[in-house]
Amino acid sequence: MISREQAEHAQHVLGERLNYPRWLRGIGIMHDTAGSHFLKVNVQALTTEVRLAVPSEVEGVRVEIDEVGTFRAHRKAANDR
Amino acid sequence: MSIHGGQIHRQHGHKLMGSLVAKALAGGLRYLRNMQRQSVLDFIDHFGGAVGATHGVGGFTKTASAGSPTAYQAGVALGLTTGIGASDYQLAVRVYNQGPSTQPFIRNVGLQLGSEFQVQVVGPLAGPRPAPSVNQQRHATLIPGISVSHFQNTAGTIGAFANRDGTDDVFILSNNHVLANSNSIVNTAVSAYGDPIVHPGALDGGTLPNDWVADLAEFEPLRHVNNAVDAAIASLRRGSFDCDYAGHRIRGIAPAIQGQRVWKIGRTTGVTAGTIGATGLKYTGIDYPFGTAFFDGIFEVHGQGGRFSRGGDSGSLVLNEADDAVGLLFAGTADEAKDPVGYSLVIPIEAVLRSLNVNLLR
Repeated sequence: MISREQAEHAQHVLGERLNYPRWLRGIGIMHDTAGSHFLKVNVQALTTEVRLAVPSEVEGVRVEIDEVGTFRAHRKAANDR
Repeated sequence: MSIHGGQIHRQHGHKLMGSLVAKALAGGLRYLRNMQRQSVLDFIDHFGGAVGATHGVGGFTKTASAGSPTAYQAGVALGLTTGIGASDYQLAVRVYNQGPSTQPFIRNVGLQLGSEFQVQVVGPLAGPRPAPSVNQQRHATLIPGISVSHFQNTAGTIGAFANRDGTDDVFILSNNHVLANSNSIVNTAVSAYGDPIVHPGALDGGTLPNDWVADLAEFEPLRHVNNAVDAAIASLRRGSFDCDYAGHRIRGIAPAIQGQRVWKIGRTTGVTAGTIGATGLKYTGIDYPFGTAFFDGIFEVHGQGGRFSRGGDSGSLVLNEADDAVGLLFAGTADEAKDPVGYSLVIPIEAVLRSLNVNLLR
């Protein structure tokens, strides 16, 4: 069973390792139905670079990748209909 | 034959070939309106192959069903218009332009019908702009969920009303990129304390001085990394307000919990529901007009029954099912085509209130 504290430590380790790549859209913490925590890494696109950079496990904590595209501040764009 | 510019009117094609105009004159409009789709296609063929693939005829083409919209840009629309006298009718020809794609067709029509038609150059046909939702319109009493912006910005949402210990001021709470025009350490010149805030937002027609409802009071400048909040407050200068969330009142504040159902009221999508996904998100890159800013400590919401938010919903307060405020919405998935539901990103409410030193009004 992975605690939230363990997941937060792994989150920090992974974040330092990745060091703000342009494709990173966040490293979050989730738990499964049994209550064990894991990391969810949001990426702009699931590219070869991403697969090579993001491990399946960090400090004993499982890592899942989610392709989310681009995040944008949600003000209304002037050219939207 | 005269050609002159005019306003756009979507026309439906009618059958007219050879002596059709004569029949129309004899039978009136009812005859034409009862014509079959195939007759229209015959009419198109009659005027030559130039029409088929390159000219969309007001909803009738060889490949589209009657009345279905077409995407032809070098379009020709056919209809009926009155001529001289009560029972006189003419073929109405509306064209995108007078260029090489439409001139041969017009000439052909002229040869067939002589003077019994009228041509207008109307430009590109476009569907009507959707009517603005009630949240984008002007309200006499300010409420959460309606349009607001910095006077030089576009439009976002009034998330909540707030006050501060020791003062009588009432503040509008929303995002920095809504009220402070994305004021960042990269560009501090985009706004200043005291700047006018308008309702509705500028993109929804808010103008100075009539729609000036508040003055920019405080915000957290945005940075390239280590952002905790995208938030700002504006001091209400006139008008009434009501903390009514579609018949609900804020009960209190609460932390975001994975799996929790939440809801919000926003300027663009109105009332929507979602579920909290990952929390404690760090290293989250968000695109702003000035570039990418990375946020820590935020959480994601996945829409239920559709998107939780769209552009213009920035600043919406997110509440849980017990009507506790859990966060302030500020960003979301940009590519709807790729991910129709997507994620919305929310700042925990405690972080927002702490950074601005305010309390939510209920």
